[in-house]
Amino acid sequence: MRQKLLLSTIFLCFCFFQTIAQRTITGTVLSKEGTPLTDASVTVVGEKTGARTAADGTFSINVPSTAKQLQVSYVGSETQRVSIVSDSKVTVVLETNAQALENVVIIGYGSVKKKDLTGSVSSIQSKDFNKGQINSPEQLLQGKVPGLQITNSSGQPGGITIVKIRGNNSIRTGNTPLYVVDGVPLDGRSPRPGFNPSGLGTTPGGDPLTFINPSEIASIDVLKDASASAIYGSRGANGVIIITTKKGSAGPAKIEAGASVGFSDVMRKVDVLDAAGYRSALAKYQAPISDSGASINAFDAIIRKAFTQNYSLAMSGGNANGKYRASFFASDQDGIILKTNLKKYVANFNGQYKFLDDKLSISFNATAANVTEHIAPISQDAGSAGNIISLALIWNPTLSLTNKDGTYNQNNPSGQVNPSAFSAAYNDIANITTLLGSMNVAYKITPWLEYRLLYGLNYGVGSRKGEIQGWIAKTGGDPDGKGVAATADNYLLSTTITHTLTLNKDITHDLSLNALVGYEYWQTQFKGNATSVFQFDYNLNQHNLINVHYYDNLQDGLQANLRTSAFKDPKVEIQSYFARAVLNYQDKYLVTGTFRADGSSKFGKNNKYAYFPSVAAAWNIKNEDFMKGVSLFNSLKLRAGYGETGNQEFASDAALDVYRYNSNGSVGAAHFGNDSLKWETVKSVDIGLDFAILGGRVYGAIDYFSKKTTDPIYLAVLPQPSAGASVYKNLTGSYVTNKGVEIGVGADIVQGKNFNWSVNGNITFVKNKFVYPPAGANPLDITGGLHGQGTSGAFAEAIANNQPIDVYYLRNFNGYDKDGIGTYDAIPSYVGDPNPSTFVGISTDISYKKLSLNVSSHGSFGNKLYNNTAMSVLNISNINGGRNIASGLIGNGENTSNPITASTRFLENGNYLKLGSVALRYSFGNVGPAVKGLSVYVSANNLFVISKYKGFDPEVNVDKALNGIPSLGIDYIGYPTQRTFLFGFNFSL
Amino acid sequence: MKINNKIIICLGLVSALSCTKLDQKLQDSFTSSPNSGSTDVNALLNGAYNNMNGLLHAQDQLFSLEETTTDEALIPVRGGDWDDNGVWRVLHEHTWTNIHTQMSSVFNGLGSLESSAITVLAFNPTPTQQAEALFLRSLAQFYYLDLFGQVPYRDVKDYNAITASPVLNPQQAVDTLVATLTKIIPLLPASNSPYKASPDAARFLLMKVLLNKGAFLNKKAPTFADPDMQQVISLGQAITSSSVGYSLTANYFDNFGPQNATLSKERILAWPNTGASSSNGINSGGINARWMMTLHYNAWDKNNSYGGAGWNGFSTVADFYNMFGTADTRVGGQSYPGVTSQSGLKPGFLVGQQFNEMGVAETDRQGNPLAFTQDVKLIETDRKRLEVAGVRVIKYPPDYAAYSGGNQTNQLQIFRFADVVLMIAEAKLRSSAPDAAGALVLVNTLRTVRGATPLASLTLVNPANVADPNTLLAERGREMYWESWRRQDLIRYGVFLAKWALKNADDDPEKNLLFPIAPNQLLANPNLHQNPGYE
Repeated sequence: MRQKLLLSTIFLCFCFFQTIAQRTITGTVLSKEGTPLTDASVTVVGEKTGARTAADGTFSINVPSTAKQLQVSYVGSETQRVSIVSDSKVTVVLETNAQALENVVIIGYGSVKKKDLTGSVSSIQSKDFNKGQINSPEQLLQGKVPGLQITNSSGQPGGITIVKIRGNNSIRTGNTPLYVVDGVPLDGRSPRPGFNPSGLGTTPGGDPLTFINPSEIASIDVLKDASASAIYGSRGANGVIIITTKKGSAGPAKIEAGASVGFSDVMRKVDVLDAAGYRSALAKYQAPISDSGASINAFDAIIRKAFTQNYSLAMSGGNANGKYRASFFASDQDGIILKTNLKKYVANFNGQYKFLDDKLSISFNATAANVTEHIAPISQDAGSAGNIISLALIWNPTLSLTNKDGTYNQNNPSGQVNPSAFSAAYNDIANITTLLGSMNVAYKITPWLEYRLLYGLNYGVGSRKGEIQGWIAKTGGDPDGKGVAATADNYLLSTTITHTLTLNKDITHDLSLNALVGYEYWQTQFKGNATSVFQFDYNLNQHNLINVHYYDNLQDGLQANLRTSAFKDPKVEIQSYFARAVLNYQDKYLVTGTFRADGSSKFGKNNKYAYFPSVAAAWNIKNEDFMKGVSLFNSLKLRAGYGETGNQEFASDAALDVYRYNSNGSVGAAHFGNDSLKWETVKSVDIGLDFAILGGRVYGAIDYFSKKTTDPIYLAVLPQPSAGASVYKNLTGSYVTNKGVEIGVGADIVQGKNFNWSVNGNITFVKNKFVYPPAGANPLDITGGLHGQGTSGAFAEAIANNQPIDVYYLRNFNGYDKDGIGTYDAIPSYVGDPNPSTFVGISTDISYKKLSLNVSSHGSFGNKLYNNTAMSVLNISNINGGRNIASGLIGNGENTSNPITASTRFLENGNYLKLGSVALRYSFGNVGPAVKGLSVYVSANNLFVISKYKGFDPEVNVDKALNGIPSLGIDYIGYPTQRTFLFGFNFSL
Repeated sequence: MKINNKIIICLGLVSALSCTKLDQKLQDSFTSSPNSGSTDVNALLNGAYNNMNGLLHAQDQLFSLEETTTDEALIPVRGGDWDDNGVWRVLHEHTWTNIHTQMSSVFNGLGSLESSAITVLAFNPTPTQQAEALFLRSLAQFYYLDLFGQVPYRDVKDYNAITASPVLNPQQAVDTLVATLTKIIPLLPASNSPYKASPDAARFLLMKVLLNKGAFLNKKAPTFADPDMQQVISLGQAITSSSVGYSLTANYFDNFGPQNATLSKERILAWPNTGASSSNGINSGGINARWMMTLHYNAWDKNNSYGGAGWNGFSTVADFYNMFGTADTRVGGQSYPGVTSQSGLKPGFLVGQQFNEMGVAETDRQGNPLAFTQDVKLIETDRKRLEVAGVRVIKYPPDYAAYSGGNQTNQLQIFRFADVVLMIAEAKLRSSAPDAAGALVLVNTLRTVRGATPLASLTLVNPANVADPNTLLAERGREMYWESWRRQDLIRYGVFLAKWALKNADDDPEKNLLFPIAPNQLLANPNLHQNPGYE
């Protein structure tokens, strides 16, 4: 029913418009500086007719004889109307200033002019996004927003990007901001199922936002402080990221097309011995002679120069009463690790229509996306058997990977799996289909009062098929050498219904009120099933393979080894009432107050509703009389706000006693419930100063923030006896603080006719602390589980009183004794912070005539990384076992029998500065009568990183959670970072 | 007014839609309570039994705490292998601190077992189900008392509470255990199935409680009350004369081999590893850990050409190995049907060069002969010895039909009849009028079945030399090695803190007699207190 409604609306929106030529108006549109403005929209007021300006700013438009005015609009400029009663040739000069480009800020359930903003919100427009190969929208913002720390957890195309706004609020999962796409709050999870064959471990998850087409995003607004995000209540504690997609604009139909092709290679390698180095190391350490005579590089055998192609096409158009935009995107990106790939097909369709003299407006958005990932066996918790990265790194460089007959060499005397063979024998495909649709109906009851209804739906289906063919041996676990396959499907459905009533009224000449009341119902459901079986009858010998995947032929698996499972989480329902009022007195004094009441089905029965207030004020100092004569400042605004927001990211059944039937006629309590379970609250203060000086050419903001998370939700150890070991509860007497300063500054250093140069930079200082005095000096809990040979049960991090979250808790390494055996403190201590104290972003735009260069870099400082790879994969004892070692170990005085020990020895400085994206573009302008705005570009992502870190990339975060507590800053044989070069072009018709 | 009406209509619309109740409904599971009447109590009881599985099977749970802290077992650090942040080494060295994942994991595992038993009690069980649940609760409380000296519990009405639980002190715990076990013996099914709580299993557990009572109440200087010892003897005799007809199994390793379900006559309580589709509501365990934890990577199996046959970890020390006489079959070294023909492996203690089933000498991963040495260090650093140092122990002859995957059919021996014989002998020696002759007869009967020469005389323990072979403690080691009793035995015999192989005498006269309570458990439950020496 709903689909039918949506479809009929879509058909309604294809409107055809005619023009009645009676008179021709020509003209030119210029900027204040006199530069011709290309692609400005020119429409006839009261008519459907429209045109666009050419590269020289000129336009020509046929208008009815009755037409009196033209309306000219241009991105980032004030829309202007000009009379055409007396002239048929007009010149329009549009006002632009530094703030005009981002003069409207989306703040949740509405928007405000930037000058009226009281909270800390960063609004990033598409022109300022990172360029190049972008797989998920978070990457557009990396390094662009003060206070926003974005970490690509690995180089895997489509891999998880971790986003934290102003530090680590929470001691368990749920530090991710709330994403709102065109008014629809997302669930935040991905329906991508896992594939975890026993012996290999868990492969990392995928990013939940890959279904969004980055080139269709018009702007992203980041609500950073609670006075801005409190309107999102119990889901707003980690900040809110609001994504607004591109819409059609008035004017004739327009086609935008783009294509790019390119390749990727590895940004940085880990330094291991080559064959010659290995031979000399064998001699130096008098190791058993494991020289097999060849000279190979196994890591090079599993990586490749990977091909990438992207295509986009968008059609848009409309008139004063109706606009539409349809876009299509196809992308095929090979990963640098053999067989890995990310394929993406996304279609978007949206329209905005006005009826009843503009009183009624109806708009819709629909996104359909299909994303396919081919995944390599790169598990995040591989044990001694390792994953394909570790197998390649430690493969004996004197041992050939292939036999003379071309088959894989599976007879490594050290007993290791051949990484090339593993790649060949392993197939793992995830496919995710996502639908995101919304319908927005708004009715202006009076000119100052509007009712709005939003219905949104987000549906995701993820399927996964994986196999390890039986011809490869020693991969570990039950299926070792027998063949294993698994299939799984997950379904995620969330819907939103929002009613809002917005009031916008000048109460007196000096005082205006912008107020909002609303009701929202949001629900989400998650379910899935999985099947696996091991022991197949074919593909057990690499000389005799047939091209039938086990997962397509599960019935051949030994049925006694069949395992099936299914789950269906409780439906999560959140019901909310909210209100906001913005008072503006003389454009000098602004006050915003918000309030939200959230009821959630997840909360315990004693705490069904949560209340989140906020208040903020701003003072536009520049508008004061005493500033009239001060020409230095073009704007100066002081802001201060306080607000409370919540976080309710915990298991949806946590408040209840949960019993479950298990196999063999048994039933057990999975856990007992917590009737008092509730949200955790983040109380936040923000004081900020916005300024623009020197004619608006230098502008920026400075914010001080202080956040305090109270009643933190914690997967707490249960007082035994109880069902299970832990329970979600609010840790009374505990809190988390994040305090800091963030500064963002931009400067248009050169503004000329031919040459322009601007620079943007931001820097954030943040200090994180967890407080729980009853814990004393002992860790409250441990996390950061380490993996690999000789590392079972080892951990690196802790949650401890008066320490930053995830503080390293390790024994100090005190060098080697006379025998070359490591010496350590007897007990662990708190030895380092994985949270960066400082993170920065620097970008610059340089243009000379038609050539423009855009460079973006980002970095973080003051944090330590734990190199689990160096510790348990590349350790020196390998040399005795016919395995390769890190080249830096040679001659360090270490005994080859030195035990593998978790210690500060593997704690490395995490400081880095990375050249994230570079793009060089040449704009030809219009070519011939049809092609407009043709430009070609080359771009590079992850060009290089400056860092002393010895792993692939200091920008890393492998999931090493223990006991439900996420880890931070641990590196363990993850997917290496890709450096991607693209060549592309764009044009419009 | 017109406008106001519209506003009112809109607000009315908003509030009309706002009637969702927000009750959470489970969909793949269910919530229940004793009064809901819908829960299958028998299935709940099966679930409680299943909480024994991992706790008793895995190499890093109860087994590790009871064995690797003693003279029977150690896991040397072997270069890159088995340091595991020192978790194994500190157990044998007695240098653990208050954070040890195995200790907190066992603490939580015992809590799950106890809680699931109390949950059964809350759900209106039949008298038999109630008795079975009380047995499982007693089993959990017994180990809490043994390992941690404090027994958290919950009243039946508070079965699902998540707040701090009350804690029994050792005297209260002993009283509760004695009263409960005495009460349930006549209530449990007289068929004495070895897979479920039975009168004999309850008698066995009561024997353990009474024999260790002195140690539970005063671990530094255990004393043994004569009435307790007499009751141990009478309970043991009741088991011996049970209608089940327990007897000492002629081939010692038949108690542990893949066919022990039919060949062993000593199973009082065992875990039925009969396969994934086992009846009786009980899951199969991971018995393969018992051989994989000790075998070398390159241990051979003719059906599998790949390595990874073992983890090359758990070993024992020369002192312990040398306590056996040459004729004692328990030391192993003899072919075992279905095992030696498959891999060359001979169950028992693995010393010296290892051969495959064709008689070909095996090598380690560095090409050295795979010849296990008696000599072993806690941290092995000599490259040539790294993988071969230490005598290996195969108590459970591997089930090569399944080996590392699938369902191995060796049943885990939890309470074994031979232990009854040894407990009776011990109680006779510890009586106020010691019956040394009676004890010697029992021990020599056992030794004769095991092929060992009879002892001329018997003392309890030689405090100066824990490895003295002519003691009952030594006999307990020879019979019960690697069956998760050694730590309790050493404490009861007063020598847990003494100097023995690769461990100096403990500095603190009290600390290591109990394991620490994990700091986060202490925070969660203020009724617990940290054990001496860990504050």
